[in-house]
Amino acid sequence: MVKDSKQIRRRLGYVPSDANLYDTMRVNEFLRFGAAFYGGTHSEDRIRELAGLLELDLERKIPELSTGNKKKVSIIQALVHQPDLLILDEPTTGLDPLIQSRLFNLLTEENKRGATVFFSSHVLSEVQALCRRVAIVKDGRIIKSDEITALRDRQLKKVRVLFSDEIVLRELNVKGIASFHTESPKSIVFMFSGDINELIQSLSVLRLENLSIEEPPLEEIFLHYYR
Amino acid sequence: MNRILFHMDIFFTMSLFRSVLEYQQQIMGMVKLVPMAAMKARGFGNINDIFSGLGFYAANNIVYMMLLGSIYSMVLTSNILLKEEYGKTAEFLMSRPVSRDEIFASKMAVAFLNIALLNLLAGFISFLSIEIFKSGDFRIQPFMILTLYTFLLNLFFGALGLLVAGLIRRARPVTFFCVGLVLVLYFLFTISRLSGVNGDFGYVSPFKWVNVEVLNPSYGAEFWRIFLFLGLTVLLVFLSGFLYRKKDILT
Repeated sequence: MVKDSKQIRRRLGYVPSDANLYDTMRVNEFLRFGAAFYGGTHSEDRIRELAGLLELDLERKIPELSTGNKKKVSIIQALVHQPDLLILDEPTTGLDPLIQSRLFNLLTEENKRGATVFFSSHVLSEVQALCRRVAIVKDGRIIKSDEITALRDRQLKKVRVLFSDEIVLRELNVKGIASFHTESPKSIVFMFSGDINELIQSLSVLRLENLSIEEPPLEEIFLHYYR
Repeated sequence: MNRILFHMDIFFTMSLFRSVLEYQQQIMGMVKLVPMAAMKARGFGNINDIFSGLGFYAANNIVYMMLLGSIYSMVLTSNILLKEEYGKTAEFLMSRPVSRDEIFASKMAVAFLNIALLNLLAGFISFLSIEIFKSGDFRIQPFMILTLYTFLLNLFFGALGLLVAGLIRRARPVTFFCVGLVLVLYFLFTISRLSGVNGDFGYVSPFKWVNVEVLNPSYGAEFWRIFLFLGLTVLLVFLSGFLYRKKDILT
């Protein structure tokens, strides 16, 4: 990889979390400078097309740009040469909801074209809306990686049990229970990744008023793996 | 703009030479009151240097092109590499399909070309101003040799600036360090020129490797000086390139 790093970078588009650009340039100068590393003859049209889509003024001076506009410049410079791999680190910071939505459409199109998109974000609802697979990274290591639907459907459930009477229940003796806590004197909530039959069997000896088993949002899956 | 003013200043300083000749007697009287150390620090090796066009030029060259040119060269080359780091644009540059060696080589080439143009223009302005303001004959050969030594000195400091950029581990400007280092080496050179002092220690300073005694009748190109400058410059460039290739740029 080190040997071929130049060839790899030719096929890579990268949006860093902080958009640090050359302060002495105008937007169009910066984008042309960035595109010149890849050669090609259509970059001018592509720059104009992307700037139009993201509503970016190409004549502005870089130091005059807001955080959101700097982020747009950073996104465009990563997309101009139509890379095979896109790595985006917090790309939506500073973007208004309309532009965010256009960015997601743009990334979906890039993905359909054949590009792989690595999308890093702390806003998990964005990840959930856009990505097919998710990897949870802790201390620089991937601690869980799977399809989002698989994570939500099969592997982890959020269980809420409402008892008929007040009950002091510190734990349930079933494998696969995590994040167990008492919500009120009559209800408990926990994340469950074990055998659902065992859980039902264990609960059947207790008198319940209600039982809900849901797919947890990505935030709760994330917290589950982080704890 | 600063460069234009710098070159204009060389011209206007040389234009003072006419006045120096006009008031030779009075100036001689004043100069005798000035300690020789101060004269040496200003670049004059001998009182009579003031009254020769070439000597006047050489003294000014020490301050303008040897001292200020070296500061300019070292600050330029160190910052041309480090600016990407403390300006945090290295992340953008390093994600382009371009190798570290190519970045180093192209930035070095631009900086050295800049130094060469500075010297070329300063040499041309100096030649022109000596021709305009001289009083007698002007020997071109010592002028050319001193100009060459000065260019090599500036290149050496340029290479030293690259080394500093390769060595420094934190992304921050090194302007003060570069200015300080050049001034210390200039100070050593000046002290080594004082009469009554064994000046050999001055060879620690690259300024001493330039022969500034242009009025000496035997003044000529000495190849050991040229090879010393070129050899060390090439060595520093390769060492800097090696360090830059291994450097953790984004920390």
